[in-house]
Amino acid sequence: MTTQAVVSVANLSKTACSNYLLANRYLFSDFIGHNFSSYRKNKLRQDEFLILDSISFTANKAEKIGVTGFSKTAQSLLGRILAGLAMPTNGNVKITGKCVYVAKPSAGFKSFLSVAENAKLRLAAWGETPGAISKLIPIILKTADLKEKSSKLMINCSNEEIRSLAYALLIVYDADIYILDDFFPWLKTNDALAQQLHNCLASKTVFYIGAAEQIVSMIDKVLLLENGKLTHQGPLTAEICKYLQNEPANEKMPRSYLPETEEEPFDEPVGDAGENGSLTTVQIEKIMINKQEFQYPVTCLLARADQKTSFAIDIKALKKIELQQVYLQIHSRFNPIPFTREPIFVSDLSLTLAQGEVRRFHFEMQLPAMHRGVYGMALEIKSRGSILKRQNLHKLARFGILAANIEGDGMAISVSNSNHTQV
Amino acid sequence: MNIFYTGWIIFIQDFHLRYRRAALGFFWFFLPALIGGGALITASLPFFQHTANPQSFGTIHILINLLIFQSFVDGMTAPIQMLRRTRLLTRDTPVQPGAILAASLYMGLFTLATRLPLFFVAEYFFFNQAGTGWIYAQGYNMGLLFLGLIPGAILAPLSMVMLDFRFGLPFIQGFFLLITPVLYPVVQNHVWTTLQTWNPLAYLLLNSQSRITHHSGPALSWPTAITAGLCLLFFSYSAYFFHKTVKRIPDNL
Repeated sequence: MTTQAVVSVANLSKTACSNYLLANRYLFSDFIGHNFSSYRKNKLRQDEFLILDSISFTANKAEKIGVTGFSKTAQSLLGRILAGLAMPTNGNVKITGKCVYVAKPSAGFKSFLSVAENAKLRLAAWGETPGAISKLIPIILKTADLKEKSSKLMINCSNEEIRSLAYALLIVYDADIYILDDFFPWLKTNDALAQQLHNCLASKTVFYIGAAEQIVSMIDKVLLLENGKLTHQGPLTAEICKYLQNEPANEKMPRSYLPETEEEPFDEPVGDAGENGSLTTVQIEKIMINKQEFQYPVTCLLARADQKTSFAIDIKALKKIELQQVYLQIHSRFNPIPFTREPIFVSDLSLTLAQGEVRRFHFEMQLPAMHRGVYGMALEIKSRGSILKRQNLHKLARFGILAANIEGDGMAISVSNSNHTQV
Repeated sequence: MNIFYTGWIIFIQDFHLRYRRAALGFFWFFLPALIGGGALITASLPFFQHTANPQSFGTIHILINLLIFQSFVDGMTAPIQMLRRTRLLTRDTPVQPGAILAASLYMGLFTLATRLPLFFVAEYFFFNQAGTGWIYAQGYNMGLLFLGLIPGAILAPLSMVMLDFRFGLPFIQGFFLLITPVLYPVVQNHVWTTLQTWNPLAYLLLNSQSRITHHSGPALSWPTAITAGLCLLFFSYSAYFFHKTVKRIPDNL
């Protein structure tokens, strides 16, 4: 393997603002300011935080790099910045060679265009010349085995056909750097085309972005992002593998890979949890949103900003407990640290639940329109001055606060498992 | 010059995409021109025989001027429309911003092409002469379209970020309508004459109109040439601004 650096990133930072109105103002001033070389923005402004904080790394030719971390730690954003799809606030990104960013199979394809039109559009967007496109299109269609379906609309194509087209585009285009974001569920398919893509990627610099356990076997080096910071870069060690593989639902795991954390870990059970541990003391039975019952967990909730949304959460005591507080808290999509340390929707109480007793807790909230966007939501249950259960609900609820002009009362989607979706 | 080809592909695919789900298909694109033509012919009938009447003559000129001025408006709105419609594409593929601007130019030119019959109608029905002036007028219309692209390229990314620019677009168009002799004839007033001399829009509009009406338009004066040169310089800045800012538009807008 040569040691020629094809990607070098130095002090890359990206800011975001939790206040929607202020974010727009900042964006506007940055829009104007970045046209002048004298414009320098070094300080964080009101309600601004760093999504990516001083990221520096290099990638050599033919190196396989994994970008991972806990969910919503801006791995995809880093990939998009590398591909030139998003701009960093500060820092330098130097890319040598053709770079391709691919998210999921259907990303970038237009459903009402045909297979050939989509391929043509993609190649044109990647900067291919007219002559090259006319030569490449037949090869792509042949590689994807879609020659006879070239005029078929993308909306009528099966997932397999879409996947084949995306694979064929990647194989034939022959870029130098591939940034594959959440690519793994379809990379694992063991057909000839997937094998061909694997062979094609073998000699390329590839960034694999996604869940830890999916990329572990493919990478030479890992970039571990936590709260916007690059906390580890280098070869995989057994310790990191264990840490990454245990990421999904093990709530007893510490939040950060680094031993010392300034912030209190967010979804780690803390305090006096009882003899059997916090997770077995109480259990969420079901959730009612706007008087509609949803199977737990609710994975997506869209609420209207101009109306109150009511929640009713059934909590079952698995043993006799005293409850002090049950409250919902909202935190940023990008950062597991809540906007405020104060709970937003509180139910103050002092009651004792017998073993097996189910109690319903009501919350009513009207979310501020300025907080439009996607957020995580957490439910905390306090008992005897300490947190009995802190359920980080960005597994439970992805929270979208919509603008006021939508119709209906909002929507919730309950996913019982990965194969069945109930709406 | 790959951006022009990419822009062409984007424009064609966007055009296909826009009307694919409509039962009337591409007909929708020509419908405004057809309705406009019908309205022009209907409006012309009462004045047809009375072009000597100054009042009716003025009305005819206003109709033609509005038709010509539409090229400038199209040039201004095309980048905004194109940028909004290609968000799905640009979100996942690093399209060069210049290609979107080129696609806007094609969009403006195509809209201009659909209005060609209207210029024919204007020349033939109002002035009862079947000449080729309506074709030559398009050269000046393209100039108007190009001038429209300058504020359009500045306003497109800004309107994506701050809705104020989108809401304020009619006012900006109204401002240009005010400083150009579209709704009023060339006034022999010192201030207005100076304004029109320095306004390249006025020069292009009056010359386009003169091709249709078979009158002579104003000659290219030094002030107009200077302003036109400045506009060319400003176009390169607006393209640079577009290029720099489009990449900074967040995905969620």
